[in-house]
Amino acid sequence: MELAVGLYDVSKHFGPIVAVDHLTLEIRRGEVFGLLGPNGAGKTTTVRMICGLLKPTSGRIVVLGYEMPREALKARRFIGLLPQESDVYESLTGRENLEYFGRLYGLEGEKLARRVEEVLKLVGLEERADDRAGEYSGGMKRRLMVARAIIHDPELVILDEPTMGLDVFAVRRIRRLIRRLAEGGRTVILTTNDLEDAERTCDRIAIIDKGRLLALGTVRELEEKFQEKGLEEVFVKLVEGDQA
Amino acid sequence: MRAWAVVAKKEVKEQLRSRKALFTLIIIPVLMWLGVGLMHAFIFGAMTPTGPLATPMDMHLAVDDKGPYGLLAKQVIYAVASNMNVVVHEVPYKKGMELVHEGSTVLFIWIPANFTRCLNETGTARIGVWVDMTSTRASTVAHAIISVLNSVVAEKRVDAVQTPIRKMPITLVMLSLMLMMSALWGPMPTVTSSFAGERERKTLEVLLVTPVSRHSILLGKLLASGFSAALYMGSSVVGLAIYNGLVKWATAGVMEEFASPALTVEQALVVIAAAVLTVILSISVGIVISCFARSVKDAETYYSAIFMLPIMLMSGTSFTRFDELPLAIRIVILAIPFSHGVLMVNNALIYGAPWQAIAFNAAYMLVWSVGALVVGAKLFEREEIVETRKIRRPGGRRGLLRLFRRP
Repeated sequence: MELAVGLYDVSKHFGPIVAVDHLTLEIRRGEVFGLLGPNGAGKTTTVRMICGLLKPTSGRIVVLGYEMPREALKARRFIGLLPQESDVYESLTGRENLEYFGRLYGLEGEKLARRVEEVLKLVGLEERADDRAGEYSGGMKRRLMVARAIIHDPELVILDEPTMGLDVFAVRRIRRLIRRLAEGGRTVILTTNDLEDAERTCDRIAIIDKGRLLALGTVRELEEKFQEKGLEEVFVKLVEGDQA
Repeated sequence: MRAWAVVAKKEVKEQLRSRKALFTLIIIPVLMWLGVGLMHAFIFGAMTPTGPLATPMDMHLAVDDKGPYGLLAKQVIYAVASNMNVVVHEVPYKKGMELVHEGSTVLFIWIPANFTRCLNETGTARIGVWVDMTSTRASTVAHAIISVLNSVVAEKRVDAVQTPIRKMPITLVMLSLMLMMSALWGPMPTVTSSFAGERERKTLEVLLVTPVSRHSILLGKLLASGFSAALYMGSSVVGLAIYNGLVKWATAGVMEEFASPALTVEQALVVIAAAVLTVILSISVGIVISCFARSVKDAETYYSAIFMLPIMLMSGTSFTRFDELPLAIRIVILAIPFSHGVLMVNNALIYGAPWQAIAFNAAYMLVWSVGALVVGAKLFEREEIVETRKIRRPGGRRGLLRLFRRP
């Protein structure tokens, strides 16, 4: 079993606040991995450490064989990120937004143009590609951000709340896209508060709270282990138990 | 509590918790008036005879008339000079003219031998006044002497034949000052939106996850800021040329003293170099400011506040002879890198200073620019660029020194 991401006893402190507390996780190549937790659980901090944007206070992180954050520049060639809070360049068109990031990832000429068309089609924005992104609705912007995260066909795609603010059609489209990425051998890390989203798309799920790992496994394994029906019940039981 | 009081209380609480509001409402006015107060205190305080900031000025006097009005004029000059903290050195006319030609005096007054005779016979007489027009103080003293002398001779009239030792090319000084200000403010919109704007729009995180080094990102943004600043300055030069043309046209044949003389190629090159260096410095400092600011508005507020001091100094140094200022204020001006843009232009356009002085001005600005860029690059590498929470490292150095700690 080849690993895409390994976090070993990782902690992150912000002054007195412990955002991530001795977290150990192994994410396999080609799986859709759900990182669930209530608000402030440490999901975004974990994602930022995986991308090398934050240095862990202690512990070790390996992403696609690269030590983070030491080898972050090399690893980032193969990472695509959709942050939870982000935006697009509103004065550029959708296509220009994608071309800009494509170039930063080293794509050029025909290859870039082809890839831009592909991802525009994947997120359903091909007809509005030449409109300024500032004219897009919130949902369209979010889809453009998803397209931006996969413009360089990364091996590891990290989607932080990808379906936030999207209508049901767009949510379905994103779910299909995630499955397609996994079928294509890509690893997807999905952080979400939408448990239905996680249940439908993730191969394995980690539930964290206060920066600590509470549970890890497939939905079925978690249900069996905690004697609950459905991911939501497992989640509530674990988080409420942790907070008590 | 009434609703309006609840609203007011919340608003005040918010303002008191906002660093930006405190900066704008408390620190800026104090700094501004402190700056203006210091400038005026030093300039006007230097003229007082006995005040704590009194700085004597030298003038030269040649009295060839031994008659009663010649002696009266001499007494008036000594009295006014004493009142304005000016030391009078009596010299023969020939020596005085030598000093004028060397540019070694800022004020030389000559009472000719026929002064008393002319006043007695015709009721009017002339004195010769050579004044350095770049010296505010010398011009003021000359004006005061002529006024008092005329009031003392009562029914008679003393005409002063004034010759400038050094001209003050007002339009050139204005042009260079405006150009410097353009260079200072030009980069602001790009620098603030490029750095703080990316953070505000939350696009910075995605940019930093690309396999592009932060130094490359910084360099790209730096070049873009330079480009927009160049555009801004280009437009400013065109605008100022129009202004200059208008002034020349309107004052043709009337105010020759104030008409703008043409720049030599060397002078033009120095002016352009000074403006470019000021732009680079402004961008470098702007990057440091933007790395601290959370939003474009914050960055603009800090930018405006921080650049107010150099603008005041620029205005002050543009219209006052630098060596006339007291030592303390000269040290402050020399320490602030933005002043060197104006000093550089003044050295080239007005004082005809040696190239070493101009090179020093340029080198000082360049060193500061590089220093600010290094600090900016370090700030750009911090985790705080993407993380809004305060990141404290146990046992680490505090402040800017922390940026240079070995990993």
